[in-house]
Amino acid sequence: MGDTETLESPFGILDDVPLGVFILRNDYVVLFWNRCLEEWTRINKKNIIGKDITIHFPHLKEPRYSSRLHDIFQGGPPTIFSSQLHSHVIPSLLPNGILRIQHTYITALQVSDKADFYALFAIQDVTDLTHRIQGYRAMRGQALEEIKERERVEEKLKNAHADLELRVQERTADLVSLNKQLQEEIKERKHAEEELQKTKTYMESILTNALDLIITIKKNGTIGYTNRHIDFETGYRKEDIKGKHFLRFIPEHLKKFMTDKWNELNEGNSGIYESQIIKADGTLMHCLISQSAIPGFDEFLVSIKDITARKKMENELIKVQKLESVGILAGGIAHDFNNLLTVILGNILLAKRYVMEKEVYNNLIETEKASLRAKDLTQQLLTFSKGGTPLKETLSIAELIKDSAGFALRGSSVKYDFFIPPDLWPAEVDEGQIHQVINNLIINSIQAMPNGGVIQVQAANVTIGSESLLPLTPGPYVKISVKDNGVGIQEEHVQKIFDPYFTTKPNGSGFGLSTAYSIIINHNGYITVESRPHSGTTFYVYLPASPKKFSPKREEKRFISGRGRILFMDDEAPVRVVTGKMLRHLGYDVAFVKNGEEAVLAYQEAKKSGDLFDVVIMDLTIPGGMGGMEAIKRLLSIDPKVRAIVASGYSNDPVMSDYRKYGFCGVVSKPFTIVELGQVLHSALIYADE
Amino acid sequence: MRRLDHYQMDILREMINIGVGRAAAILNELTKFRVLLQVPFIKVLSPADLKEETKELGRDMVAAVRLGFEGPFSGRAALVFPPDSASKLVSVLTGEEPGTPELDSVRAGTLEEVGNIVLNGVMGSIGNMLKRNIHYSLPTYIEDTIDKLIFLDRTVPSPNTILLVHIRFTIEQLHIEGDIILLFDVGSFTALLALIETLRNKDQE
Repeated sequence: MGDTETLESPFGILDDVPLGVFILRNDYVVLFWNRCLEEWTRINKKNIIGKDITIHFPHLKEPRYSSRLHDIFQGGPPTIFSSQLHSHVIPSLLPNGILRIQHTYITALQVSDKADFYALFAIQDVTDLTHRIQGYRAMRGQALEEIKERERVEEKLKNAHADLELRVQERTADLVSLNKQLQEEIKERKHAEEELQKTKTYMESILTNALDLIITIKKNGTIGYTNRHIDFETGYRKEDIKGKHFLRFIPEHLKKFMTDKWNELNEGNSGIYESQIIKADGTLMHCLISQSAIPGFDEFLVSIKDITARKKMENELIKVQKLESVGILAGGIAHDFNNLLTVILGNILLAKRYVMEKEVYNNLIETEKASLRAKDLTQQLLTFSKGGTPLKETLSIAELIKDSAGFALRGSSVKYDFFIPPDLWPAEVDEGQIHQVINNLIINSIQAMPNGGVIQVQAANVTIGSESLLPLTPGPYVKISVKDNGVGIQEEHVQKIFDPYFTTKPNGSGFGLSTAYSIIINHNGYITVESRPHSGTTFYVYLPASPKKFSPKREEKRFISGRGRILFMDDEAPVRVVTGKMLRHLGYDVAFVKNGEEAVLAYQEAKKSGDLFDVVIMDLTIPGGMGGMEAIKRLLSIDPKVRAIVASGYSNDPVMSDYRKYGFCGVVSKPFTIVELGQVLHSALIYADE
Repeated sequence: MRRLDHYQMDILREMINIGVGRAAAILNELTKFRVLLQVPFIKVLSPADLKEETKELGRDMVAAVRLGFEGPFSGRAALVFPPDSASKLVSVLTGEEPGTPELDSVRAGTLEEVGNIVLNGVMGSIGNMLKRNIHYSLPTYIEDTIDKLIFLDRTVPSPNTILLVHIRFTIEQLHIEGDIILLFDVGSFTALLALIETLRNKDQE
């Protein structure tokens, strides 16, 4: 192989590479030009090798190339002319008429036997690549544009969405606010309803618990609302009353009165008045009615207060007051009559002793009888007028009832039953007075059963509590009831039967029940009656039970004479005369004085003379002078052992029932009989001896 | 790491600045814009130092142009940019619309030329000053992480000493920062310094 071949061989290879390759000497003379370049440039290697390249490509002398090539010729590092910055190092047209785009590497090529460096150009045709990349870029740009457009649309959509979202949020907020407002309103309404319900419950509670009956009456007079109490108070159920006309429940005698009141109410006048209502059991309820219109409603409000018990109490009070005033009058009269009767009876007694003619004697007997009846009458009047302040002893009531009732029933055709428990409490009573009460009640019952019947006399121990409607102090009582199945008492008479002189019997005195009433009241008890015409009558007597043991029955009163010196004081001369005669008849010596002053004087003188009075009998009341109460004080100061008996027509005077406290040793009610006088003197002398 | 004395540092700095200056002159001829290249700092580092220095960048992708050199001293030289900066640089030099972040093969070719100009400037300057012939490989464009580019490339020897040259491109209003990394094989940096010493000796003569 020759030298030329050896030299050319390495470059000859470059003819076959798919790159444009040429070698340049530092004087820009072309040393090699490969086939590829021939094709690209249409310059035959024969026409260019050995020639200055700038003849064909003058731009290579420009500094942007030459400065870089300079380094290469110095053996510097390889140089790149990139396709973007140096697109056409060797400009050549493609068949389609556009310039090839080239990417060029230049390396320094040292020729082994020389110090110089050549520049080896290797040019890559990157037209396709560049176009592809440009196409890709365009596509990419378009895609990016589309993406951007899409992003813009998305952005718009997003904005629209955000706007929508905002509007939804706003609307939601509105709804939330509205909902909240609604909730608040619901809450408020609920609260208001609760308040209303509470108020309603409260009002209902007030109405239900009101002690009065509360009803509403419609314009047509029918009853609307009724409160709960209606059942308890009247016995009617609500449904019995509702829708009924109110006049149905008004007793006949008050219908006109109630119609007038109804008319007043319709004219707009409220009012309070008393009336009566027929209860379910047919009895009447006294009531206080207040009526008024209900503003805003076509109804009237009627409040009804049951005042039956109060009414009863009022009537009782009126009765008590009436009987009290009558009693005062009766007591005054009876006292005067007693004095007169004492004289009359005394004189009759004396006259009887001295008269010789039988006819006159008989006249005196009749006069005496009449006087004794008159005396009984005055005694009844006195008892009734509270003159009979009871002289109480603790007694067995059972025995007293049996004795009294048995005595009254003697010779009567009516049958009787006693229901008296053996453990009946004793009571502190005036035996005579209670005897009289029971006697009167039994007689009353007998007279109520003209065709015979059964009288039931019962007694029981009862305890009266504070809740009792009876006008009694709470405590233990003995309750006596006398029941007959006779004609009964007319309703309008029931309230009057205890009035003095009130009687429905042709021969009645009108004193029996009034006296009984008075006696029982004076015993701090109570007497009442229950009666229905044709259904019989029951009297109830309450007497305070006594914790003390009862005393044995008193001995029979008997005529007791005695001896001793008596000082008798009375302002009335006839009384002095007749009493003096009685005393002497009993065996006593007697001296008389008119008043307390004289009595004191006489007692002093007697004491001086050593001839003392054994007993002093003094009238309690001396008009215009010293009475027995003052006189006894004086006598006691003279002689603490003085024995004195108080006498008075007023047996209700406290001194009479509690005489020992005032210094007396005995008591005698005027007018007194010789038996009574004898007994009291006998007792006084025994007492003195003790 | 070895510390260079002032002279050594001055020589290195001078060689690099001359190279960078030449590169700037070339770039100015290629584009219609004025291109200014500056070197804010130069550092001599061990591989560990570099790792530490580029720690924050370590896992990020970089765009690099690399070429090998061989002669009295051998190793590799690389111009390294964050991809975004590389793309911007290409756009501004070619007058393209900015905003395309990708470097397709055409644009990568352009970056190759830029890297070639800058690295040639620096390496050429070193070779000229030291009056030594150095052989270079063709520059190649690489996109990878710093770690792989420098430390994990099994195809090349592990570097012993690294010369880190921070470089700033100012084109119009645009500032683009990058690094020239010179990786010296075992003994090569010493050889370089030895050559620098000969310059000193000559100066002293």
